[in-house]
Formats: sequence, C-alpha cells, structure tokens
Amino acid sequence: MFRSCLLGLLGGVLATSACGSNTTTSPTVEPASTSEVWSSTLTVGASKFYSFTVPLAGTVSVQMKQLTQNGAATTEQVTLGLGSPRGIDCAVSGSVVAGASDSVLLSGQQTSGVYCIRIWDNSQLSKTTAFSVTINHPKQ
Amino acid sequence: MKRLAVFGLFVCVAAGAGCQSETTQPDYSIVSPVTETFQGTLNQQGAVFYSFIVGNPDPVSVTLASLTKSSGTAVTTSVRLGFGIPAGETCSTTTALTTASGLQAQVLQVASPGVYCVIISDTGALTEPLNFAIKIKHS
Repeated sequence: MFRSCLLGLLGGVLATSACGSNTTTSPTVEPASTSEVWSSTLTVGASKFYSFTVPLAGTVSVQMKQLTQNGAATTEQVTLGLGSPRGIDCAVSGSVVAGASDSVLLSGQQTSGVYCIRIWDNSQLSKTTAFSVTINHPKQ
Repeated sequence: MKRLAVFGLFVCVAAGAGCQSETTQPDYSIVSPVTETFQGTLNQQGAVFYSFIVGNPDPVSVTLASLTKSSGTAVTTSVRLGFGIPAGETCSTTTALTTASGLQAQVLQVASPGVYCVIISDTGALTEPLNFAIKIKHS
C-alpha cells in the first residue's frame, strides 16, 4: 500500500512538471520611432487626409505644431482624426478639435498596418489655413 | 503487484490526459471574394484613388470597366491605372499601366492582407472630364 501511494505521488509530480508552463515575462521595449511631417493647406469647409505605414506595433502620436492664415499664427481650430484609408477618404476612429500646439493631440498603441490622419474644418475656419502635422510612429 | 501495475497505468493515463497538446486545426473556411466598385469623375490632368482592405492573400483583380463622357457616351481614351498602397496624399503604386476600359481585368496582383489602393489618372489624353467605373475584386 505504501509503495502504491509513493508511486501515485511520483506520478503526480511528474505529470505536474511535464505540464509546466515555459512562459517568461519580458519587459516591454518600445521600438525606435520616426516622424513624418505633413504640411498643406485647408480651405473653408474642406477636408484632407494623409496616409502612412506603421511597420511595427507601437505608439502612434500626432501633433499639430502650426496653423497659420496669411502667414500669421491663428487661434482658430480644426478637427484632427486618426483612422484607416477607406474608399476615397480616411475612416476616422478617434478625433479631437484643436488649435496649434506642441502637445500630443492623438496617441495610441497600434498594430502594424496603414493608417491615416484626417484634418477637416468643422465650420470653425474663416479663411484658408496652412497647417503642419507631425506623426510619430515606430520605424522598421 | 497486479494492483500496483493497474494503479501505475491509471496514473500514466491521467498524467497524459492532463498534458493534452494543443493542435492547430487546418482552416477550411471558404472566403468569398468581394467586388467593390469605385466610381467617379476624372478631370483633365487629374488623379483620384480608392482604398480597400484585403483580408486574405488571394489575387486582386482591377478592371477599368467603363469610361464615358458626361453624356454617357463610351470613349476609347486611355488612362493610367495603378495598384499600390496609400501613402501621403496619394496612392503609391507598385503596378501601373496605361489602358482603355475593357471587360477583362487590366491589373492582377497577389496581395497579402492589408490596406491597398487603386488610382486612376490622366496621362494627358483627356480633352474633357470623364466618368469612370472600376471593379476591384479581392478576398
């Protein structure tokens, strides 16, 4: 009886060790990033979009550092969205109404793929406006 | 001794059952191709593009099915038709050709899953804006 118990115990230990998980936890390392600058003009009531490829999963962030009218900085605001190119437009999944700033306006973890930034006037511009949008994303 | 052997066998079977290996079943699902129609107007010296998602690594076919005047009259004018990836404010082409409209696909391209685009542009042959219809078939 004693031998049977011992054998059963040994079997249980072997079964447990054989089923042991080999997973280990590694610290998350953010890949090196690159910046793309999109500079253009937006007319009253219009929209535009810019597509870019994210080669590796990681953080994508967007800033709008300049917004000018006739060469002078303006406090007027536009709407900026991040999404995916679809059809003849950019299907936005998140957006923000903002003026020029050094702050990050949009940010998020993205898988690798093609994304787009859409800028549009939501009835807030009084005249054609030049803008400069900086997109930071992981590079290959 | 016989009872011990039976017990040992039970332990081995139980241990084996507890260690079921994960197997990957082949995916036999059938993916139906999708046809998207990109319609619009091409202006002189103009270019327009259309983005779409390829879900499976099957061939993508692009057919410039019609090219007509605003009156509806078909024309034989050739335009530039390209396939590529959206980049910046345009579609960065990996394949492009100059073609008139036709019933057979002008572009046939194997593409891995992802976002792609088709672009149509004037090569300088347009004398007036033309309406177009492009069929994009993909999985």
